[in-house]
Order: sequence, then structure tokens, then C-alpha cells
Amino acid sequence: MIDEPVGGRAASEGNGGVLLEAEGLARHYASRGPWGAERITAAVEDVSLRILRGETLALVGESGCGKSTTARLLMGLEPPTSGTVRYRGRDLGSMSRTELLEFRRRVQLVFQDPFGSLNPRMTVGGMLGEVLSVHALAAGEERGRRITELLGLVGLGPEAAERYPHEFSGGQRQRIGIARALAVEPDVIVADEPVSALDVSIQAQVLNLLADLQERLGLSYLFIAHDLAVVRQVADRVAVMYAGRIVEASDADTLYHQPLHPYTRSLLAAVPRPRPPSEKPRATELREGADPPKRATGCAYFGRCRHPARDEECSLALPLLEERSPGRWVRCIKT
Amino acid sequence: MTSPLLQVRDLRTYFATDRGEARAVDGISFEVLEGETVALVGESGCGKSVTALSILRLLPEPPGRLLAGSSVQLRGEELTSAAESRLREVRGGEISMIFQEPMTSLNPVFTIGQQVSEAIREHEAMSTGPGERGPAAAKRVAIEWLDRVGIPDPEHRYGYYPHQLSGGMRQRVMIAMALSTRPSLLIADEPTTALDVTVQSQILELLASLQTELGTAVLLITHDLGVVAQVADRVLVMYAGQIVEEASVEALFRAPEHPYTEGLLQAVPDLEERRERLAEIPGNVPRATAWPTGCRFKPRCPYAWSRCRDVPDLLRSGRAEQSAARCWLVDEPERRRSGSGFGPGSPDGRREEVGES
Amino acid sequence: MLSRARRERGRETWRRFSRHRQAILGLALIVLLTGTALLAPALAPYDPDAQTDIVATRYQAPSVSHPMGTDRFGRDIFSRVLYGARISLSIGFLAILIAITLGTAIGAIAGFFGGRLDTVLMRGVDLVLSFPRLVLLVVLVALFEPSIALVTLVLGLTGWMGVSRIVRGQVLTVREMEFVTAARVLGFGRTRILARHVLPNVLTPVIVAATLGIGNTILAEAALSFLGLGVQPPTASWGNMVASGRDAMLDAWWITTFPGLAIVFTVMAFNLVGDGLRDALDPRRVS
Ligand SMILES: Nc1ncnc2c1ncn2[C@@H]1O[C@H](COP(=O)(O)OP(=O)(O)OP(=O)(O)O)[C@@H](O)[C@H]1O
Ligand SMILES: Nc1ncnc2c1ncn2[C@@H]1O[C@H](COP(=O)(O)OP(=O)(O)OP(=O)(O)O)[C@@H](O)[C@H]1O
Ligand code: SF4
Ligand SMILES: [Mg+2]
Ligand SMILES: [Mg+2]
Repeated sequence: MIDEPVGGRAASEGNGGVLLEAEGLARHYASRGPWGAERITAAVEDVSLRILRGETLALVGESGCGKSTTARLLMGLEPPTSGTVRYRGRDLGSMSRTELLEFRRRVQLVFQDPFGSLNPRMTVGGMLGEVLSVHALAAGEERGRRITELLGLVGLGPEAAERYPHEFSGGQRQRIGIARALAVEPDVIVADEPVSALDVSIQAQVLNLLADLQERLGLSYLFIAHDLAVVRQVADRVAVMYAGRIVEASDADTLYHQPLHPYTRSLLAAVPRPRPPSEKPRATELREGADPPKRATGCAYFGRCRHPARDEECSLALPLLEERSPGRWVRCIKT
Repeated sequence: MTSPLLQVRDLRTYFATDRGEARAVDGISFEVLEGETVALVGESGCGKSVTALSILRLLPEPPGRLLAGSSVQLRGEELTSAAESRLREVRGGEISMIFQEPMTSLNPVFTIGQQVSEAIREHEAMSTGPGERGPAAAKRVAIEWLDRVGIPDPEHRYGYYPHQLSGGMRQRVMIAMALSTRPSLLIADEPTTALDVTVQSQILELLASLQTELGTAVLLITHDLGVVAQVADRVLVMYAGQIVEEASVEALFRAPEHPYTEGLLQAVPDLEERRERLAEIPGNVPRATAWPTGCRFKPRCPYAWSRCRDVPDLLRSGRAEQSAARCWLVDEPERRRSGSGFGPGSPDGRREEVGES
Repeated sequence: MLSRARRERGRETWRRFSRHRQAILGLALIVLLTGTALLAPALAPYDPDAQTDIVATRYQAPSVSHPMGTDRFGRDIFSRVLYGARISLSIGFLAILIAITLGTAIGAIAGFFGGRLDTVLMRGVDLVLSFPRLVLLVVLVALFEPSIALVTLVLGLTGWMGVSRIVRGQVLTVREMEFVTAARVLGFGRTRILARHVLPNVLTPVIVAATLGIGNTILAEAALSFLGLGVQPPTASWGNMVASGRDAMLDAWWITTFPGLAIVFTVMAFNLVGDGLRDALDPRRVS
């Protein structure tokens, strides 16, 4: 069963604004249990989404809910078990070599780990130069100029080109990763937890940088994060994932002010706020129970759910992702 | 409750490294009173974990060393010069510790029940009732504790190995182990950093309720200001191996005194509303082998002026009770108004020096 | 421009290496050995193969005129040890070069491409490894006419399996690292990724293995020559020198002792340097 893609209004009114699109994406992994029995993990199940030109779609959810797997599928780094990824309407699975190379130029990935994502044996200039030469984007003197320009774009001086990754701090490395992604002049950047590994005082620098780049270069982002406060700062639309599925999606303001799904509500309630104790807003709090054994049928959140209306009905059949009002999607039969 | 439970004076811990001496903890002093929760916040590498390890003398020595003149007193008893046998009694006895990674701090080849029981038997006198001794009593108490920290079906889970539990459950086991000996002080080093927010909030609540019940004091190490606001009574802000601000939670969040604290509070995104731009603390986190001279925050401080070339003391201010900041602004508060403060970093004005290697 | 950064990195490694006292000792020994090997014609007091007046000069104990004595043909042992160093060291270096190249190529291909290719290649390694190396060497050498070139080739061809396993293991790890994913996302081809991004990051253990391997190779050469299957007399190699003295071990101990010591010191020197390199190049120590 394939639900409607979680997409902005612009999407349904003609497809002009849609850059990257996933439809009914699923990814299953087979693993062996302790007694050799094969177990199938559905890391991602039935995920549909659209990324529009110039917008930031955020994907949030707890560890292991399938965010990075979704990113890898969207990037074509592994094939989906089922479903399709389309870039500007073309199916990733049936692209020719040249089309795929073009796709690689247009859709880029920024990683969480500022240490593991840069080749420790290459200078920053070498890294950027390689990208430019492989895609024949700049040669000779032009290449050096472009490297300087890219470094400038992420707030680093030209002297950074001759240094190795280990000579930089975490925040600077993250900028280098962003510069490398920008080198191919992409229009979509999938950023998988780009600030999670950074110090608090450095996070703001990188978030502001991403915002500036979006404005200057007209980029679209798929911004993956588990920190809801960070997402609040960057997202136009938010999709909340739970156990491989999208359980709620809508524009950011609505989601933060009127979360519908019990999981979204307990997520928001659980974020500790850096406010003095005397002025803590204790909104309609929905707490959740401890993690239960997984159920084969019904709502995946059933065991942890503390929605007042939760009952046996929830455990009978998998709730559908339904559009309650324009652009507002919820997967819960009780809200 | 007049004399402090833990009193740390001029603690200095240095490490010999390839890049020279790392002054990881460089002269910090603070107190923890019976039953209170003190948060130690700061960025990666500022010396939080080293502080905790120094208190319990768990440092790798070498490369680490505790400098002469450092003092750590537990109810007046000096720990820096205590015998190893005494320290072993203190560790896990009067002072327990839990770490960030519940997977690596639990032994993968023993069941969680065995590990909790072992902790209980190690400090039998403190953990079990009078006259209760031996493995059977320890097992009973262990199951009681697993139940208490919210592990469902504890008799059954007693036989589980760590990898069979989720991260949150493992952290609950760690808490059971740490508290089962009824310590006076619990040092929790980023106990929820590896956990999801919903699980984090459960763990923090669990800690808070057990703390009230047992009267345990907690030294909570974290880099998350939200967690600080939620659980702490008092806050110590660390930057570059020093405590730069000390205040009650209320005072800290209402009116931060040190520019670093001020910058941090402005730089963290707010859940309630989207800001046009986040304020930025410019520059990078310094390294322990090369702290800046004078005020260590000076290279990143928007207010810095000539006086900041001298090292500021932790200055008491009249602003709130028991608050202090290591900043000359406390002396000259009018400069804060005339100073620039933390602007939203401008897109073009941001060019930075590379490599402090 | 790039060389500055590279130089700095080299200096850092050297600084860590030089703190390793034993490694420095080993390096000094190797420099000394290589130096004497190169300068053997100038340093050797006698022609190593000269047999003048055998009866009068043979079996002389170490003395001022023959610091290490003479053998049963009256040849100067000291001169022969110096010339033997040239043979033993060049066989060691060349053979390890062959082994490293082969081992790296096979290990890298197996690890990087995986799948059936990996299975086939690694089964091959297991097969070769299941023969004891010395037996393999003896069989191979026995099939052909012994010569220095053959010994070198055979030592190289039987010494790569360990390297290929190390390289394969490393490649499997590096292949999963995010910078490799980044390279894929940037549309780089597989050959480029393997050559430019994966291989440079597995070289550290290869260098260490090579250094440690030279010692082993020299030892294997000595063993072959001792058995008469390696370097053929009258050309001096340490191995055949030890062999030639074995009948007169009790009466003329110096004939076996000095080349034997040369072998021991050389192997030790390379092992010390290998250990030092392992510590100095350890990526965990690069902050
Ligand atoms: N290659 C794989 N083989 C088997 N299982 C996998 C694989 N990759 C991911 N999984 C499983 O799929 C689920 C989703 O993983 P994924 O990495 O997408 O989560 P995530 O949301 O990115 O989590 P995190 O916040 O921890 O990064 C997890 O349960 C994980 O164990
Ligand atoms: N074993 C060690 N050897 C050398 N230096 C060390 C060692 N342990 C810590 N340091 C140094 O001490 C400094 C402080 O480290 P510490 O672990 O206390 O930081 P932290 O504040 O706990 O940071 P984090 O938030 O990353 O845990 C580091 O910058 C590091 O350079
Ligand atoms: S569907 Fe039912 S169980 Fe699932 S979240 Fe909604 S109320 Fe809770
Ligand atoms: Mg992930
Ligand atoms: Mg720490």
C-alpha cells in the first residue's frame, strides 16, 4: 500500500517545484538471530516525501527509526527493497550512467561525523580539486580560484587548502564537508545530522552558514536531526519518523504549535528547555511508557503510547498516513 | 548541612601529550552540599570528565598527573593523599559514578543481575540490611533495585546480558548499580547524552526521584543547557579548564554574567520560536595544550578590552546570591551596555583563522 | 604548496618515532649495515673470494689481520660478511617489494570488490598458507636451478599472503568509512576510490608489515642457503657462510658465529624499526 507523498501544496499543483521525491520507499535488512534464524528488519517502510525547490524539509525521530537509511536510499547509495526515488521526475533506478553522474552532481550529502567523512590523507585543496577535476568543472588556474571561492563560501581562508583534515576543529571540518558538497553546484543537499557532533557554541555557526547558503544559492535541504530545537530553527516542513514510518508531517509552525500524533507530542514534551525553572512552560504534556516488545500488527507506537483514547483498536490494524487538512499528515486513528 | 559533602580546592590535572602539556583542569574550586544537584556544564574538551576522574583518582597516571596543592575533601577527609585501599572503599561506596556510554561501562560477558549483585556485595555493609549477607541476599536486593529503576519483570531480566537491553534500559541498570550502595554522592558524566530525548526525560526523572528518596547529592556533568535547567540546583560553567561562572539555575538562566554563558544561551535554538538568525560565538574551542593567555575567553569575546589581557579571578557579584564569574565585566558592568554583545554572525564578515595545531 | 603540509606531517611522525629509543637503535643499525654493504669494496680488507695459499691461511682464529678469522679456504670472514650483507640485504629488500606489491594488490581487490572475487582470492591465500613456507620454498627451488634471482623471486612469491590478509582487513574497514561514501556520492569511479581514497589509508600497516617482513625474508634466505638451495658458493651470503662452517663448529666457531650474528642483528634491527613505525604511524595517535 502506498500512501500519498508527504509534500507541500506546491507539489500537488503541478510538479514544477519538486526536485527530489520518494514514493513508497522500503528497505529491509536480513540478519541472523542467535540461533541462525533469519530475521527481517524493516529499517524503512512505506516512506513517501517530496523536497521542493528552495525549501528545507526536516526528518526527525529517535535513534534507529530509519532516518539515515532513508537518506542513503534517496542518495541511491543502496537500492530500496521497494518503492522509487525520482529526481526531477526521473526514476533513479532506471538512470543511465550519464544521468546518474548528473544526479550525483545535483544531489549531495553532508555527514554527521566531521572526523570520518574527510579523507585523512588528502589536503583540503586536494579534496576540492579532485571533485572539480572529476566533473570537469574547473581546470588550471581557474581551479585554484574556485577552491578559494568555495572555502570563502563556508568561511574559511585560502590557506586552509594546503592543510590536512586533522589540523581543523570539528566545526571547521564540517564546513569543509559542506564546501566539498557545494563544489559540484548541487541543488539539493541531504544533511544527515550535520550539527549533532558539534559543540554547542559551534552549532549556531554551522546552522547560520547553512541558512546563508540556502539564501544565496537557492538550495533545498533534507535536514535530518533528532534535536527538535535545531529543527525548529531550520525547517519549513517537518516529517516525524517512528519505527521506519512517517507518523506525522506538516509545516513546521503547525507541527510545533499543535502536534497531533502522540509520539510527536511526547517528543516535544521531552525536550528540556534552557529556561529558568520559574518560567518553564509546561504545556499539554504527553509522556510515554517504557519500550515494550514489538507487535506484529497495529500501530507500532501502541506500547509506548499514552494517548487517553488509546485502546485495543489501535493494535488491530496499522493506521494509515492520512491528510487531515491540507499539508497535514497523521498516522493515528485517535487524533 | 553546613559543612560541604565534597569540597574541591584548586584542582589541577595536567596531561603529558605529544603537543606538550595539556592543562585539562587548571585550578578549579567548588563545593557540593549534602543532597543537592550541581551541574557542571561546558563544551567538549573543557575538562569536565577529567574533573570527575580526578575526584575519584581514576586518572590514567601517566600521562595524567594531579598537581601538588590540589585538594579534594569528602566530608573533610582528604582524598588526594588517601591510600588506594581507602579510595577503593570510596569508589562505588560513598561516591558512585555513571558514564555516558552504558554499553561500554557494563561488562558484556556477565548478566546485568550478576553485575548489580557484585556491586552490592562489594560494599555489602552499605547496601543490604543488618544481618543480611551472602549471594542470596545480594540477589534479592539486586532484583529490588532493578525493579526500582523501572526495569519491567526484574526477576526475568536479572539473567539478561547487556546487549539484550536498549540503551535506556542499560542506563537504568547503571543507575541501579550506582545507587544500590546508597552513596552520598553520585557523579553522573553525561548520563543521557547517548539517549533519545524521550528516554532522557525518563532517566532524568528517575534520577531525580531516587535522589529525593535517598538524599543523594548529584554532580551532573553535561553539555546540554536544557538538562541543566531541568534538574540542577546550582550550576558551574566550565570553559578552557576553569570554572568561569557559578550561580543558581534561576540566576544563570535569567541573567548570565559571563559572556561565554551569555553567548551559549543565545546560540542555542529555541523550541518555542524560530529566530531570524542564531547568535554566534565566533571562533573555535581552544585546546588544552594552548589555552589563550589572559582571560581564556578573550579571543571569542565581543566585550574584550585591554584589561582582559590580565587573568580575571572568579569575581563575586552582588547580582545574585552565591554567584560569581571569571570576568572583568563584573568589576565594570557598564562596559556590557556599551559593548557589542553577540550579534548574529554576518554571512560575509565570517572569515576565520585556521588551525590552532 | 602541498609539500609543506606533507612535510609537517612527516616531521610529526619522525618526532614520535625518534622518541622510541629502541627504534632509533634499530634504524642506526640498518643505516650502518646498508652503508657497509654499499661500501663493501672499499671497506673489505681482502677479496672475499680470494683463496691464496689455503693451507697456510685457513682456519685462522680472529686476529688483528683477520678480525673475524678465516674459513677453510683461507678467505677473510670479515670481508665475506661485508659482501654477504650486499646479497642478503638486496634479496631481503627486493623480495619484500615483490611480496608487498602482490599482497597489497590481491588484498585490496579482494576487500574492495568483495563477493565471489573475494572468496576465490582468499581461498587461494588459504591454500598457499596451508603449506609450510619452508617446504614450499624447498620444493620450488629444487625444481629449478638455484640462483640469486630465483631465490628473490621465490621468497617474494611466498611472502605476500600475510600482507594480503592485512590489507584486505584494512580495506574492509576503510571501505565503510564515510569519506568513501562521500566519494561515491560525488560520482567518483571505483578505481579512483580504491586508488586515491582507500589505498592511501591502508598503507600504514603495510609499511610496518614490510619492515618486519624484511627480517623474516633475510632469515628465510639464510635458511635456504644453509640448506644449499639458496645463494650458491663461492658467492658469499650469510646463510651459506653459516652452512659452510657447520662441520667445523667446535674447532672454528668464528666461521658460523660472525655471519650468524650479522643475521641476528639485522633481523632484530628491522623488527625494532618495525615496532617503532607501528607506534609512530598509529592513526589513533594523530589527534
Ligand atoms: N546495513 C544494515 N544492516 C542491517 N540493519 C541495518 C543496516 N543499516 C541500518 N540497519 C537498521 O535499520 C534501522 C534504522 O537505522 P538508521 O541508521 O537508518 O537509523 P537512524 O534513524 O539514522 O538512527 P540514528 O539516529 O541512530 O542515526 C536500525 O534498526 C538499524 O539497526
Ligand atoms: N588520557 C588523556 N591523555 C591526554 N590528554 C587527555 C587525556 N584525557 C583528557 N585529556 C585532555 O584533557 C582535556 C579535557 O578532557 P575531558 O575529557 O575532561 O573533556 P570533557 O569536558 O569531558 O569533554 P567531553 O564533553 O568531550 O566529554 C582534553 O582536551 C584532553 O586534551
Ligand atoms: S494510533 Fe493509537 S496507539 Fe498509535 S499513536 Fe494513535 S492512539 Fe496511540
Ligand atoms: Mg542516522
Ligand atoms: Mg567528557
